Amino acid sequence: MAKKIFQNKTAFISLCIILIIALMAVFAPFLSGYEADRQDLLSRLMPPGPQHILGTDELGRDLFTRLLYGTRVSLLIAIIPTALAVLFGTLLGVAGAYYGRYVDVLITWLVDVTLAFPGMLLAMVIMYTFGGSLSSVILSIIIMECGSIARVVRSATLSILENEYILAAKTMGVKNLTIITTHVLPHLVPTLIVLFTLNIPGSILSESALSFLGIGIQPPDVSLGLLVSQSKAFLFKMPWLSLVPSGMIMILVLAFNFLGDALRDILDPKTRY
Amino acid sequence: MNEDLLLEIKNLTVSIQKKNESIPIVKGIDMDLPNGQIVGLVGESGCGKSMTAKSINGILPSVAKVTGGSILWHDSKDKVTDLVTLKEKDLRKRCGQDIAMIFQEPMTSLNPMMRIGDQIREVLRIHKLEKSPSQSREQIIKMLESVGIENPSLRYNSWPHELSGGMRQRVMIAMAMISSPKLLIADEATTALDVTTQAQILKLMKSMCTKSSMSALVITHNMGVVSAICDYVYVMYLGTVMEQAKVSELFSNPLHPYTRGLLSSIPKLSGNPEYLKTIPGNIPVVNKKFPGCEFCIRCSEDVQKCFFENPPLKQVGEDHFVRCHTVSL
Amino acid sequence: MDNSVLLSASHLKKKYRIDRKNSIFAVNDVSLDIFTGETLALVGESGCGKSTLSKILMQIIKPDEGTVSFEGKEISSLSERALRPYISRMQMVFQDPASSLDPRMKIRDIIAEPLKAFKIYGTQAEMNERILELTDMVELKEDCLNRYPHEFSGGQKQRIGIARAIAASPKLLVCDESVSALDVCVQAQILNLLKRLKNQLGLTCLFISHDLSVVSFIADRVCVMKNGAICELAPAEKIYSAPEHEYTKYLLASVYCP
Repeated sequence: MAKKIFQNKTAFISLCIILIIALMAVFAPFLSGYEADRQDLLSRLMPPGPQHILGTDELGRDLFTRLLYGTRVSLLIAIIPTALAVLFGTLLGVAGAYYGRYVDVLITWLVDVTLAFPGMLLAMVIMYTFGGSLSSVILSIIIMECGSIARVVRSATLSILENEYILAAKTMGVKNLTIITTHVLPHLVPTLIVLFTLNIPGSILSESALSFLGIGIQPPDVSLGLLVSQSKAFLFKMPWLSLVPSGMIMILVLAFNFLGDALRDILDPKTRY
Repeated sequence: MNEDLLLEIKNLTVSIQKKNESIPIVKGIDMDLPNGQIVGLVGESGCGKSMTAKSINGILPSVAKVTGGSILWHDSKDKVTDLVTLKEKDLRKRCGQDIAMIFQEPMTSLNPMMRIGDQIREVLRIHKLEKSPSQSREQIIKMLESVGIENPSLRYNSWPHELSGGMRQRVMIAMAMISSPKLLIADEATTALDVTTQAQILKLMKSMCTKSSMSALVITHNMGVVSAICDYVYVMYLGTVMEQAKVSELFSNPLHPYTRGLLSSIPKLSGNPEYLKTIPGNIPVVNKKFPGCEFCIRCSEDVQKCFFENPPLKQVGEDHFVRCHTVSL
Repeated sequence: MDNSVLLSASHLKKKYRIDRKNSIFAVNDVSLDIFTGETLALVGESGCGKSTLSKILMQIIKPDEGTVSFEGKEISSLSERALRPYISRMQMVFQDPASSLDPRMKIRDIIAEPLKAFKIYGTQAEMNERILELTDMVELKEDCLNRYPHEFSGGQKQRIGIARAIAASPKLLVCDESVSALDVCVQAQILNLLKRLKNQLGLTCLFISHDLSVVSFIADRVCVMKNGAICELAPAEKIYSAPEHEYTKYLLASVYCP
């Protein structure tokens, strides 16, 4: 698989971009001399220059530093809840498809209910109930994505279950759990990898939107969405303050989308969702 | 049997193009299709029988290509067209009108979103044979009736999924026959069907051929099908014709060890031996050019010569040809 | 053939719903006995219920009515747990060799699957020995064990399927259209193999097929099914020489033999 990624230009380039951004975010303290929430009221709203590469905001905080730390939080929030959503979605989808009957009815019903709610509304409800914090953002993203993942996994599992080797395993007295782990899950792996990469952009966007609305990440923490939100007052006077973090969101989303599409072609050219 | 030919395949070679090499899968076969006869092409899967048929109407998969030989279509006594050199557009036109093909899978060959009657009408429309709507409808219903579909005027408005496998295959035949072609190619057309349905469809094909003096090329791996409807038969193995003869002659006097092996592999309805006498091993994957007889590794006869020299196709009787060293005149 | 009944089905019924109002019987009041050591063939057209019946006998699906007994003990009402020892004694060879082997498993693991599931061997060494013995029985070479199914031809895959089915030393082998998808020569090879294994291991065989000529080669008794019910059940010679039921005659008349 690694070889195929190197051969596929789209996959390779987007993977490189993601890695570079991720490395920059991880090594943020070494790349910038400032602290993310250090205020310097004497150098407020400075344009990009030699001292502050991307300028400063209305409290004199260095934008480049805040961008790096914001990316850190945004990436974290993209990857952790997506991974958890894929995990729960897989559990639900496989269980529904494999056990069928009322298990399936119950799970499909649950999924339909979560999908029937507008995602943002659901997130807002969670935010107002549990208060805006990192963990509520994670929780709401999981709930928003879990349903659609469970749905895809369920149908993928159903098509795997049609194979006769599943029936063969049953006639050979293999236990259900063993059938799932040896005959179902390995075949789902390509689907899951693609689902994971294709859901990350959604998570990044959800986080940004929540933070922009002021109900996601709360100051003094930083995230990309929060940066856009805080600079919206200066949109016309100092456009770079909002354009730079928005640009970062766009690059990340595009890179993950392209990677996911390329991975889908690499791993399973036959499947289209 | 040279007098009244419809189609003549001469030294046809079809190869699969891979990155740097081209692997021949049909290796220079000659075949004659006389007017009004049913010719069978038998062999195990992977022997190139399907590729031969597909090269006739130019629907080879994109990796395969005709790399040599000619397929001559006799329009009349003195007008002959080579289908291989024909442009795709002209070939398409001819194929639809003069050559019809039915496939193995009647489920996937019919458009599930179109009513039966409309699909057949589509054929008429494409070949510009459509008359007034009511006339076409009548013609189609008549055709449906002649392929043995009960209640044809009702079935005209049926969807493909409402029909059974045998019915769908009948519709496919109706679709193939509506443009009154000169040649019908049936590629494993009855393989997926039940024995009883298969028997009905074979009877139907045979009667259609005699009624409209149409020729047919029947591609199958089932010797029973050959014995049921064919007049003449070609036995293929790894892209070459091993034996060809009239059907009655081939079954009463098979000469090639491969043909004999094939025939003895088939269980009979009664009087079977304790164990079937079969051809050992699997069809080998041959990429390199091999000088000897392709069959020699699995052959029951042990002749040294076979490993070094490919035998020519020898005539051993009236219309009976064999490619084997062990057969003498 | 001795006269003890190995598997017995009585008054089996299984209904499938087509829509809200209508349902059809896939299996309608079927009773039959399979005697130890015989090969019973189940013949019929597609949709006649022969596959459903075999799955009910194998306890893969539950019948609506009726019982199945194995060696005199009723097994159709047992729980999954209590059923396990019986399941190991009835194994199945499937129709499609391509779909019945997990493409991501090595041949060794495929053959080992029933051995592990039924916990037959204590040590890895014993199990390896048994796997080698099995590959030898189905005439496969030892070096195939570390390869994957897609590297094999249809006939070889079917041999692997047979090795897996006989791994747990079953008494009853159910072959569901096991040779229908194969080419004539390979079909003959597999038929010979099945017959030899049956004699060698003293297996009882339920052979499901739509092909009457194949059935005549392998079966001792033939059971003709239509629309979920048995039309005729008689010794093979009698079915082929003097069929009684109209449908049997019709089936026989449809077979073309060269």
